[in-house]
Amino acid sequence: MHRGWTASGLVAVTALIAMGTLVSAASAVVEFPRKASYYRIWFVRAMDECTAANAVDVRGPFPNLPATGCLQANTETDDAVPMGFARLLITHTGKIAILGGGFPFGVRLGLALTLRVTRRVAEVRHPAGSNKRVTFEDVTIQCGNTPFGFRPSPAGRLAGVTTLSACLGSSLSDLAVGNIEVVNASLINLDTGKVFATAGVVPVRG
Amino acid sequence: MKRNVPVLGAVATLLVLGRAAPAQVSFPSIARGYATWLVRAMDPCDPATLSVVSPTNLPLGGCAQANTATDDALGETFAILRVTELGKIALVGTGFTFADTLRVRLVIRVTRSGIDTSVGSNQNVTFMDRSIECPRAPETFSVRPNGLVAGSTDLGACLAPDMDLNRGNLQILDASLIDTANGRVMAVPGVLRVGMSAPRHR
Repeated sequence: MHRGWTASGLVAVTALIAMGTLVSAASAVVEFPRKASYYRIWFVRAMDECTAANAVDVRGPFPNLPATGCLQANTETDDAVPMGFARLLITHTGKIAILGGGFPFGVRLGLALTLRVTRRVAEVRHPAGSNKRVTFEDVTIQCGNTPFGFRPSPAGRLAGVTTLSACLGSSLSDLAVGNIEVVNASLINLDTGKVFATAGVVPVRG
Repeated sequence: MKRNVPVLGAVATLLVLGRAAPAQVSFPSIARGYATWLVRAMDPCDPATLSVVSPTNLPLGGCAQANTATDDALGETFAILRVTELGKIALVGTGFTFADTLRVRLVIRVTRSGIDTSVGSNQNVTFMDRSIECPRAPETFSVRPNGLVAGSTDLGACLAPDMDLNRGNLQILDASLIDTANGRVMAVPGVLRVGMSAPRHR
């Protein structure tokens, strides 16, 4: 009797430990935040990366700068489109708005976004499961009505509105839901295919 | 005919020089910075390890959400990051645990004008990409007993000893919130869109 009780107790304890392990493993999946309302940036000019091979000595006049740097270059990045300013807003409703000024009339601009989306998925296989949290491979999308993109007005103003789902296209539109990491956002000159602006700031005391 | 040779040579030289001289792209007149909510950082999925059956308007493959390379220790209800034109970095958030400590990590590429270099004076110079953490160690953004974190720091101080990098055309290549206990990224800029159904197309 006692021995039987001990055996069943051991089974129960083992089961509890196993359950505990499973619960702790499950809780390792972090929760989404409750709220993330918008992604709002201003754009600055995109410059070519400075590498040691292109570096020159910096001699002044500012004392607190690195000893080396590279002459500003725009070979990999676009050097054709001038820009006064540009802003981007992506909201939690999936709306995307671009606003800018100081662009030449006639250029074709695109917005490139790299996103990493994690969302609940109703059904997965290999292994099979339902209502699972899935992270998808990073996807880079282009917003703007291809092939014309966003077009500045004759006055050089840029104002465009679209949606995440429209940028993703019908085959990927369900990626516009969930924990959406904006890995990268940049403006592209569609005529050269080169990036001319990325997120940043021009400090006012500069 | 021979007289024209020097002229042609000069024209050719001018053409070559004209082509070699880099087109100097000017900075934008205004860029007031970065103001974004932070979503949870997840491990990248590469390559996909499971098949997605439903819903249908998704990639065919994906990965079970993982937080091995990214932080899985801290909670977060929401967080907002601002980098302003005045050179301030501000963080506000809730849902953290008392005594958690955080820093903002920025990867920046700075281009400054009016720099004297070994190849000429008054040049525009792009500096090598820098990864900085704000506030600068050993300082941190500390979570209060009610789970709130709210603080600001100065970009120039984070850049020390290269404080003069806080001017010019400052590209923010990457921004993230770091759990200082393990050095892992816990949150990055983004938006949270709730709902299982596909959004409407315009």
